Amino acid sequence: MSEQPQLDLVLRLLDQQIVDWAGRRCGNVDDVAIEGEPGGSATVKGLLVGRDVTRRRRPRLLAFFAGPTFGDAPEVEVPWSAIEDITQVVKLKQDATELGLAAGDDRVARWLKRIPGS
Amino acid sequence: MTKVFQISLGVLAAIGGFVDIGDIVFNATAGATLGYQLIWAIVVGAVGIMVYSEMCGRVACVAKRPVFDVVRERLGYKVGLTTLLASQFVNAMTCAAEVGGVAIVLRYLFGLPYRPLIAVALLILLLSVWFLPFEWIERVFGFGGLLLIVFAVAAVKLDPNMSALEHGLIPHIDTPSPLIWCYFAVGVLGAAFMPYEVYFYSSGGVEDGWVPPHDLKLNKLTAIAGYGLGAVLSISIMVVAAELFVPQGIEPGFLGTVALAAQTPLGEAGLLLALLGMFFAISGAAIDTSLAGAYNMAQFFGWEWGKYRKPGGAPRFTLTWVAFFGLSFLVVISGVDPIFVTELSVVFSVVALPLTYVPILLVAGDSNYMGRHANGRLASTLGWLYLVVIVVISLAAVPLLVLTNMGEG
Amino acid sequence: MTQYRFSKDSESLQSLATEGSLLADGVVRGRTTSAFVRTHAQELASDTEKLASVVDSTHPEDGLASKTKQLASLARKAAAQLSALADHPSDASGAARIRSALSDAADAAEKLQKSA
Repeated sequence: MSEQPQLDLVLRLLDQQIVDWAGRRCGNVDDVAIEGEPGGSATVKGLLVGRDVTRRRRPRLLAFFAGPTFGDAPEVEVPWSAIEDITQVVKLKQDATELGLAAGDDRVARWLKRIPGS
Repeated sequence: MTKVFQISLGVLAAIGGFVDIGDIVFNATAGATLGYQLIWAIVVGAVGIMVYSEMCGRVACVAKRPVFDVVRERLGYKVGLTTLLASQFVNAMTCAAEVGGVAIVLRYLFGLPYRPLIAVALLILLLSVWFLPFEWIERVFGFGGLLLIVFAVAAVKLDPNMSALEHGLIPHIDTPSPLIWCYFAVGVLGAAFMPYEVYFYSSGGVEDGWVPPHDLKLNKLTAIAGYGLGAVLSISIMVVAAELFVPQGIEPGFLGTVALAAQTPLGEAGLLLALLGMFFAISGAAIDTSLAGAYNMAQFFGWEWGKYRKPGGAPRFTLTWVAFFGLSFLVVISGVDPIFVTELSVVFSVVALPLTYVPILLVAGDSNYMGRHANGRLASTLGWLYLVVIVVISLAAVPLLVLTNMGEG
Repeated sequence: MTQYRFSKDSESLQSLATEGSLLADGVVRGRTTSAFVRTHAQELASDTEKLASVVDSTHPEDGLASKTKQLASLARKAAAQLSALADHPSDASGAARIRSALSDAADAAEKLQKSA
């Protein structure tokens, strides 16, 4: 990972696009998993992706609206160790499917494959 | 020739933004109602969208981030989601209107019944977006829409009142109904800032693989030339309406009325060029809005996206633009008047405008993000100035719609 | 039907009839296509017929009763002319008569508006 003295978690990590090692877009950072006790030191454990994660951030009137997921996992935790770099996107060291990401795209792709020209 | 094709993204975005079905009829109605009084609004709107499109394009080029990526990041999930839903509602309404518009133009060209032509229009659009690579979509529909330059020729042929035209570059009210003037001014300005233009333009910049520093100049040229051409077409339509319809008391209620404005001075050739130009321009707008809708969904939820991938390479993105066309078909086949729908969509979109443009302005001016390519003094000043204009028109749009009974008094 | 509404409806009829006359003129001069004329004349006829129905269904203010009836009748005649143009979009001599009739209808609507 590129050396950065500080990382603004809200501005530079939260809501950023995640891409896997092959450059495939596979979700946004919906939340950040932090471990630690109040009053003690905190460590970023990983990234959280999924509709169950965004439920906590949705406006009350739109609490029901998760968007069409087409089979994405409701909550995936991407461990910090899986991150290659953080620039304008969060780049992963692994393939999206290994981490349980972008399942919805894989599912729809299987169905689209039957149409000529896809 | 290659350089000409390179600006095709800007041309297509501008065509979709300036001469879609609603703009064509709205500008003609503004011209028929107020003569030349709102020429300044087209110019002001064009400069504003050039400023913001240049910013979006620069962000896309330097940071590889299209607008909706930036909207969620800067506004947060809650406001970003609200913006997404508002913009998708407007995109869907506009797309439906454009699909209906394509069917209407096909009817003018072939004289066949309307309902089957809606299916034909849908098929043409679906197949074009499915099979054509992005740069060919830009070229075919962008440059095809430029056939509307026939209105500029018609305007010249009608020997317009040049001093009135020049006077129209300065805001002035010369009508017993100032509220009607305000309604049309807000409508003309709002139409220039339709959010789907920048969603499409910025995503297109990423699709076209723009890289700094070379493509920063291309971005500027594309924004200026593309929207400049769009403004020329809009002004031409307003001029022919002012010259032809005002003296005869004609209120343009149909696309056909506007086509008549090209036929009257230029005959059958003028009519056919106008109709073909409308076909490509309105189809371009349909494609702009459906792809903009798909870009927004994909970028907000982090899906793979892009026309540079085959349809199966960006599956949910593909499904979304197909769904937009499908929904449009259902709306239009139900019998809704496309022109009415698009006039409503202009008004509702202006309400969502500040949510679209604030993040662009913030990110384009952020040197942590953009390095030495962040907004300079001119871009920053114009950006903030136009944000004030956008906020004013977003606040005024709905009250004016109600008070003026959609401009009818 | 108020004074204001009567004025607006008269203007609408003038607009539709004038536009129809312009369309017919294109047929007379052979400067248009029959597909376009058929389609656009149908649109204008439909709108004019709707206008006639709306005007017919109103309750006029005092002094507007007979003028409202006249306006409705004018609108129905104009709609009939436009339908005829839609049915024969390539007939130049027919179009010449329709052009005249629609131009007269527009003038009559204007006179009605001014007299109200």
